[in-house]
Amino acid sequence: MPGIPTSNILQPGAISITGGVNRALVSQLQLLKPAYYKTYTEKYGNEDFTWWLATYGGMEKAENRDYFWFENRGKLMVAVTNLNLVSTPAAGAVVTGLQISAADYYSSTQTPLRNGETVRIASNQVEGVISALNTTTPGAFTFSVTPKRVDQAFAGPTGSLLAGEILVFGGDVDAGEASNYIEPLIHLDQKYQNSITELRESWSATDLAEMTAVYYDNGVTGDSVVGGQQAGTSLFTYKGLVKSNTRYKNYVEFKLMWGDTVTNPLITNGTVGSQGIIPKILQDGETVGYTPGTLDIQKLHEITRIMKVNGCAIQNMWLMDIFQKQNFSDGIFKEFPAGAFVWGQGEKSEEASVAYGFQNIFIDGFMLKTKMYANFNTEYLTGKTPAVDRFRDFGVICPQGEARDAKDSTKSYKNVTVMYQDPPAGGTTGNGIRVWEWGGGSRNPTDGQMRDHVEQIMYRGSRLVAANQFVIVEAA
Amino acid sequence: MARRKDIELSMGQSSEVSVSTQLMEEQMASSLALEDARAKQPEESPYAKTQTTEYVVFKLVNTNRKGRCNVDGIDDVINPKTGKMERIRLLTGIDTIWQSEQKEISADYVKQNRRSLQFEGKYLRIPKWDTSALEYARTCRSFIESPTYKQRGSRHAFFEWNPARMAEEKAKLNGKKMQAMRYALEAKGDKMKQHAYFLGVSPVDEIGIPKNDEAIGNDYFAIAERDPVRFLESYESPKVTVSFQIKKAITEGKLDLGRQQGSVYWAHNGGFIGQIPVGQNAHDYLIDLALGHTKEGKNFLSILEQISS
Repeated sequence: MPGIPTSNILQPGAISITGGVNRALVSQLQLLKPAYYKTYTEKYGNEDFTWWLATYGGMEKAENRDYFWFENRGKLMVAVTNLNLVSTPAAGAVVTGLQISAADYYSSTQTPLRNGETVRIASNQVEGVISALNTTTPGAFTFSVTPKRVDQAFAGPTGSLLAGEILVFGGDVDAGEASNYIEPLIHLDQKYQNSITELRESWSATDLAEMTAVYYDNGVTGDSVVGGQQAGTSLFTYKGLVKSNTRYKNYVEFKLMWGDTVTNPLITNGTVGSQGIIPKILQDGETVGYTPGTLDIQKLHEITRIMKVNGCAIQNMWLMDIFQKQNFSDGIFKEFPAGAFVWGQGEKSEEASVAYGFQNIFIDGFMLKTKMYANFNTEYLTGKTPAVDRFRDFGVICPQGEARDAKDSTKSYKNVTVMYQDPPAGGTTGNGIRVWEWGGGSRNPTDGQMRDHVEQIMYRGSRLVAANQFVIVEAA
Repeated sequence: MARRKDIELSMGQSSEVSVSTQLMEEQMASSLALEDARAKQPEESPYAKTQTTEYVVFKLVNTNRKGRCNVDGIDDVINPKTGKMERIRLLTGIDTIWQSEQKEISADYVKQNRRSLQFEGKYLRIPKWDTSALEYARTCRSFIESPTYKQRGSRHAFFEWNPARMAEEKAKLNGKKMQAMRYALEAKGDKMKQHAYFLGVSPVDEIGIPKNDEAIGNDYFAIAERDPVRFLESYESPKVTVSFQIKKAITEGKLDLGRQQGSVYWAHNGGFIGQIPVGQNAHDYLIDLALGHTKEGKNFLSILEQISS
């Protein structure tokens, strides 16, 4: 009689090992209990880079995609530049055939020249009056100036009226008896505009991914968006959603800070982009170059001279990249020996008040609060080191002031404002951000596929007024 | 009308402001002294040159900038004599820019006398007599012709404004414009139409009615005037004829683009011509194929010419 089948019973059920059971056998049998740390570790710290715009800029709602504002075109007091050399005019003699440089024309037939205007030569304050004005040829108006003193020539210190001499207007003074009216000087406005752009982010995960438990159960910093929680329970996918949200906030900040308009016709999605704050300052603000390692008090004087000319506010924030911040600390710190430091604001020796570390400096009537804005450095943001980084050795001085509305002086605008448009209704909207969920696997089941999608969109742009008061300090 | 001076006259007062004779003589003496001083200077002297006030003009490459740009007066550049990286400093009162040659200058002097190059409205004017500023401008890394710029680039790049060269280029462009316009006027018939379509002239007007030869000729002339460079580059080019043949073949259904997405076939025998690369349209791909040097390209061109004739 055949025996009972036992092929399904494994043998051997035991083995013999010299020295007895060892760790390798336990590992081979996959019986090792994993020893792990249950807390997730974020080794690069807090990577939410959005603090400056939120704390410094205002927020304002725009009714349309494109918005504009008006600023004064130039300084209130007028001056023009002499175009051609006039050699040694005689004392008391009328200087004829004068022309101004092309930059002093608003259009080819519009200049500030007025018959009867007093003009003073900037180099020696010799005073004259425009006694004739010929506006026949557009872009080439000629005028004559009669010096007011008979013993003075209308000329600079060299005895000639040089090309490039600045003639400062002095108004209709010494108007004389039974004087007639003078043509008015009309204050000009300049229109500036920018646009809202579309900023979007998406997150998705499958049903199984969201159902999978992982080793760690805490340590994730950040929040998922309001109205955009995941449907499953996995901390891994939850972390992904939270990090996606943080990254989205950073993208928005960076677009508003240094993004630009979209003008390439090859991009056909209907967007026009938005000019960021830094491109606006690079275009309309002032730029001061420096050589790394030579950022010292003399360079600060050069900067404050420019700030004075441009009517900058007294209090300013100076955002610097990592390298410039260190240059600044070394360049200014070494001017003042150890022990001479006092905290800035409100202290007696304000002109010498630099606190190493936080660093306020009060110089030439301006308070400069220096802050490291490490977002300028690609290494800090991404961990990659470009050979040439646009914002390395870079900083921007921002006035902490306000600009008055040209029509209503009771209103004022912050220098930097984040403009936003309300998104269409639907989902959850807060602070101009629309969040919605979709997909069969989401908390809002919309179709048969078991995927959980979380979408976010916002419409933002920036408005930077009085860009001339901002100063870029960068290495060449 | 009564005037103040009438009142003063009747009151026995003089209304004229008198300037003393002595003051007038002193002023005349000053004017004469200035004239004589100028006349005595030899033409080569720097002082004489100041009187002609000739400037060298530099312009920022970035034409978007409207605000001022201050280029720092200290830089590290490649010395063309030594080929090594050296520091240059633009200082008031010092005629050399190379730090190695600026001997016995105190750190305080350097601090107090640093200069920058200031661009206003994208332009910088340096008088010709300011030789150290000119040398610095042409040596610093921001000057696009300097060897250091070619190696490292600069955020404040600028070039030397050469009005003579600008005028020369403009004259060349005007010459091209005249030539293009002459060709456009002389071209007639199919040759004119083929080139016109290649340049983008539409064969129909805005309401869809086919244009006659005169209307096409008008648009052709307008393109010659507006874009003479592109006009002349493509004038009598084989690309124009091939482009026309391909467009005609597509319109007449001799080339089949719909049989398979991203591929082109001959309609008459179903023969495979080629795979259109992603991002390129069929027309441009077929032009490149026909004018290329591949066997398939030559074959395609040969068949295309046969079916077009």
